[in-house]
Amino acid sequence: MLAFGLLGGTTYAQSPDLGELHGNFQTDAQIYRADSVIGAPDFPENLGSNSFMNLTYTRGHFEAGMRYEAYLPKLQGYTRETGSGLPYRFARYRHKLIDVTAGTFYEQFGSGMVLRTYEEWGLGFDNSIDGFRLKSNPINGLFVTGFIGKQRNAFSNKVENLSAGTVRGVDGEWEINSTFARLDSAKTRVKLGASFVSRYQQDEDPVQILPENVGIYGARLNISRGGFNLFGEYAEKINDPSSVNNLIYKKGNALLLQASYSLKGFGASLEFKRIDNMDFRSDRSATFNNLTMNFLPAQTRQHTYRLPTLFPWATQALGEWAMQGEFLYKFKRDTKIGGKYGMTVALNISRINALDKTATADPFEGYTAPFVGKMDSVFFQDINFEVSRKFSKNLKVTLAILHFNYDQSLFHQLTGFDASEDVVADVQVLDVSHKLKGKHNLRWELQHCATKQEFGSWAMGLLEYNFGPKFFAAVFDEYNYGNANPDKRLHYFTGLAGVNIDNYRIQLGYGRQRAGVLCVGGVCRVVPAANGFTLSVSGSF
Amino acid sequence: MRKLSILPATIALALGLSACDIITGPKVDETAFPTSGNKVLLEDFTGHQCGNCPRAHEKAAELKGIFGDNLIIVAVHVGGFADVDVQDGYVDDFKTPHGNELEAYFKPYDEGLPVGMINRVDFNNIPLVKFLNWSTVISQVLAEDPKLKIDVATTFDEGTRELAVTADLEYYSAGDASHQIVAVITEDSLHSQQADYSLPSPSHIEGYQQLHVLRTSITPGAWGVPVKGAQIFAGEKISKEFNIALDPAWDAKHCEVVVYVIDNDTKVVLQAQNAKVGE
Repeated sequence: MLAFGLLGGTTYAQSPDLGELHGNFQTDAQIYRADSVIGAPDFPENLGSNSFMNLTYTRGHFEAGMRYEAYLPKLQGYTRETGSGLPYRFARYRHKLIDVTAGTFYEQFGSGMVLRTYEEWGLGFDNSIDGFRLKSNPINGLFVTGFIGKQRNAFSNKVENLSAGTVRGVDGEWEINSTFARLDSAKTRVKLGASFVSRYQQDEDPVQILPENVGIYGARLNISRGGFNLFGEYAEKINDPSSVNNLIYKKGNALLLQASYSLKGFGASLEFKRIDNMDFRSDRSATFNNLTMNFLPAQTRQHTYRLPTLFPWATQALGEWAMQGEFLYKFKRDTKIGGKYGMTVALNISRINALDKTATADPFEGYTAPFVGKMDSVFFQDINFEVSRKFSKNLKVTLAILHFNYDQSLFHQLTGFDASEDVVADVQVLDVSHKLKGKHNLRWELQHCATKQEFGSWAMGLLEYNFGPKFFAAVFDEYNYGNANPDKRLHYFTGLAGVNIDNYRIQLGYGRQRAGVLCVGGVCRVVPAANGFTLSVSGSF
Repeated sequence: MRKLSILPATIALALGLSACDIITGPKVDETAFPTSGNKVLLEDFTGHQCGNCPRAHEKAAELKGIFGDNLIIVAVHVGGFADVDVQDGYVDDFKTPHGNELEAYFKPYDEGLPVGMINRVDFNNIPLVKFLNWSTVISQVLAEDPKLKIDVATTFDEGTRELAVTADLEYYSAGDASHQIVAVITEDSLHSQQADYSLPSPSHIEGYQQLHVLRTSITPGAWGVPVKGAQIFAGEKISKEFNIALDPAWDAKHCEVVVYVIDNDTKVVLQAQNAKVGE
């Protein structure tokens, strides 16, 4: 374990003549103890660890980088191979008209519904492309990107295990105001974009006739004026029978509309999304989070408090119909409601419905679904209200009230938990921060989740202590007191402490971790039950 | 400047036209598949709580319709998805020591169910194959020259429920000392509750028909007994006999004996054969 800590001491000299070398690293290690009470399995190696280090070298117009990753063995719940490798390495040259990358790259077209490759360490997610990318800015305001390559399989750390399919794409984005000098100072800004991505994968199936070239394409429009912003994107996918969609040949489509308005102290946004058979991957036989090419943003709030994360949402790429509204208002300071320091209130409502699917006579066509979904079939609904007020220089209080409706059956595949009825849950959070003398800060939280379904009700308490920016320590306990099974009315206690020194952070923890699902932006992974010590060291240089 | 902005549009159009295959005609090619005398064993790792597994069952049934007697299916219920959960109605235990041993060795549950093995040959570097690719691998195996032939005969005494299995092996080419023979029993037409995520909530089917369910191995463990325990000559004929008393809970007329020969070093299946109980 000391070896992990030593990593933090490495630094590199940087000289402008020789270019610059920067990097960052992180290692997350966990010692596992079998715990039959919470269902934490025996872990033969006792210690698991996920680690990486990024190195980026830049000199003039040239840039090169690589990332070493090691999973020795992988932490539980990550769909990764055990082992180590250099799955990420690239060289890039940028000069005037040309920006060229050879090797691994991440890319996003528009909102990501046609293409988004990215890396999310916490999820163990990485769908980078290994290939060749060309970007150009031929005239003011016009940006063109083209690429060809194969995709990294999140399951593998090895470059040689790239996707079976080859992917290529092109995207153009036009900021109209930047192109025409007389529009450059106009208040209304308009951006247009269009993208096209295609996958080639050989049809090796002797029986079924599968399309070898599958295309996905979209167009987008963005208009903004002052605090007002409007974004819309529509995308389509041609026939793409795959493991995920049960080999149907139906076309896919997706529509995303976002409108927002913000002023000082006020913000409002409305979102609408409809997706229908839009799962697109670089291998038609890939499943779970592997080899996804596009990203369908989730129209739900991503909660940071612990108990509300019991109910995460995973975007249903095969079909959903989603709406979200968000309002934020800040009562000014020195007013009756705002008090001496002001008060912020926020309301967020999201609702996701199923599509109204009717099976077609031809099984290869799959189904038909009208544009408007079934209002009575709620996949997910979250109504949450948060009020935050500073009572004095040293006391800040946040209160959150949340109400969830949740179709747990969708998560069978992830959790194995069979819920015959939908979950209805009410969650309350109280978060109080005290500024103490000197640089000492104390923060505590009380949370409660009341539900009759799934694992039953929970209560949670947290105490966090910060000494200056350097040291921090926290303890929290989640108590599943309402579990229908009296043997599972357990305390999940965790304690952690850490230190931030310059650009490095070391955190040590010990505790019981409840099994659950972790989602970031609608992409989820299973977090298995675990019991033991954790160590996380990260830094940049 | 205008030329420059036309360029990306032209590239996009060219890519668009060349890079889309829209299938408007038939979706299935039913032209003849190659046969060489090989029979192929599909081990379908499954579980009654696995809601995506009915898709693999449907695929297996479709392939059985196409490949007929050349395809032998064994449904191996493994992992947490095959656990009994009385509270939720999953009352039948289809797990077997044989299946657990396969699970421990090949780790299909970690790969994610449903997944299968076709003669345990590698596809994309691993023997675990997603059902979408089953027909590809089956065709490849069927096109290969067989190394041996297996004939299976069974006699069943309904009174004592004693089952005798005779397997006659004929080697077309030389075989290694590592060759082992495995005999198992499968049972069809079992009705039990099965999860199915394609259904609206509650997402399960009561009385779902479970097919080809692995019941037990007749030979010891999952890897059987040596065919000869020594080098086998081309042209050599070897006869093996196995006996077992059928569990009274099993319906003999829905039971089948599946016999296959593996290379115990690689676990790859070299040839397989099946016979109804009592045939």
